[in-house]
Amino acid sequence: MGRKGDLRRWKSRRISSKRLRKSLKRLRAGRHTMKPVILSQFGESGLDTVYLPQVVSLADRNLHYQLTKTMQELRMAFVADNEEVRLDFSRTEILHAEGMLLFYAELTRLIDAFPTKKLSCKPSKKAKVEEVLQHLGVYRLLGHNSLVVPTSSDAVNWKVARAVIVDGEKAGKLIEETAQLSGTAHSKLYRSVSEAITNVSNHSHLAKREDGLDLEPTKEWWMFSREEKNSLYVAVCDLGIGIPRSLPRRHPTEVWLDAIYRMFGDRRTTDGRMIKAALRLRRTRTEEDYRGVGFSDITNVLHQVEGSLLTVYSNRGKLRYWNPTLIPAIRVRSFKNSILGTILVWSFPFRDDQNA
Amino acid sequence: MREIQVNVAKDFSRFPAGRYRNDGPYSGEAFRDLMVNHLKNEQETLTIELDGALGYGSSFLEEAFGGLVRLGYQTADLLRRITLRSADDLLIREIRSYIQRAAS
Repeated sequence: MGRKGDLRRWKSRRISSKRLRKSLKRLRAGRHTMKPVILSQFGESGLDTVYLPQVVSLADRNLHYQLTKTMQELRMAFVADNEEVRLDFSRTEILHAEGMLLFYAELTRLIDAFPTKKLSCKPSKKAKVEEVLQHLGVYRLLGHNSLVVPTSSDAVNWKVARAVIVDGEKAGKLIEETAQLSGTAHSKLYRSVSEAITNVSNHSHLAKREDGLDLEPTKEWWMFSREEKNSLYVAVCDLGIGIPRSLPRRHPTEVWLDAIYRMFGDRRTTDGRMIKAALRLRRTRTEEDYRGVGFSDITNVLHQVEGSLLTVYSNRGKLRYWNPTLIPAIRVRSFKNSILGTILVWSFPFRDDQNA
Repeated sequence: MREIQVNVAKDFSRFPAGRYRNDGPYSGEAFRDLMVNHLKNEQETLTIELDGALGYGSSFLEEAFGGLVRLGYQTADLLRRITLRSADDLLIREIRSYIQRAAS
């Protein structure tokens, strides 16, 4: 082949490398094809198998999609005619606090709603995942008698609380067990968490959850804390209607004002923006003028530890809020699928010399 | 005037939380009703020791103290008859602001 052939080959290579660069760019931006690797299998010999993803997390677009899709499959498996649901953890290698909390909340809610469903599981191949699932009682819930004894700090540092009322004692005792926070920071964190669960009690049950299960809305909440040498994560979750649905019901005027505020910019009302609107809301102008002061409590604890961060996931939206003392930084985004609820995660980083 | 002392942590809960009674047993509304029992007697004043509880959410405080105003108590009367004690001055100021805001 002569010079023309070489040029054609070079051009095609250039195109393919261009495509490669484009694909890499999409991958880095989290816009890669959003498909879980293994789809759950339904209807085989009286058994529905739901595969948990490799990384149980809501951290980026792909992981968010995979976990919300898996939760959808889990709900479908519980309402399907087959008598047994099997959860397959064999691929699961990493558990993030917010992802694990969503899974734990969804699973316990489904078990309560469908108590006759037979459950089983295929355990994880990763020792650390095994320990966490054993420590949190997930294996016990699924009827799996594991002999694993959780000993690693990665597992035993996870703590969980769950209640259907604003049970300050349950939340407070979990907070008091965190050694890295001072009395003042304990108090501020308790204030944040108790307001979060009060919001659950007042707002989350206003309408039915849009999960197709037709269950009565509840005021139930779940809480995780995970303390490491250099970090502390505290997360609160509810499976209610979510901030984007509750805000227009509670604060219709403010939602309209927020739309006018954005009139000259991008006017789309996404779930991420609705969470941001809730954060901005300091007081309500409805007839109950004294309500709606809670969200500032939720962010106040961030002043206690330098570099701390609040992440709010609600329905399809996500908001990250940090640096409240200097110039508050807020980032919002929206995802394809809804978590059908709200998760608040407070993250506190600690240097070796820094206790709050 | 007879002084009644209420220690929130000992006489109510170390973990006060929630606004209304149906939120939970140690809500702002429940604490408001505890105060009302004492305030019914015009000859009694209340000293409330706030330290010792793990913390107070704004919903709890607003309903407990702002709720007294909504029940019909006069702001000046409440500020005269209720003495708040805490090492945290900001907490005391916050409670007073809820009483004053509820009246406005």
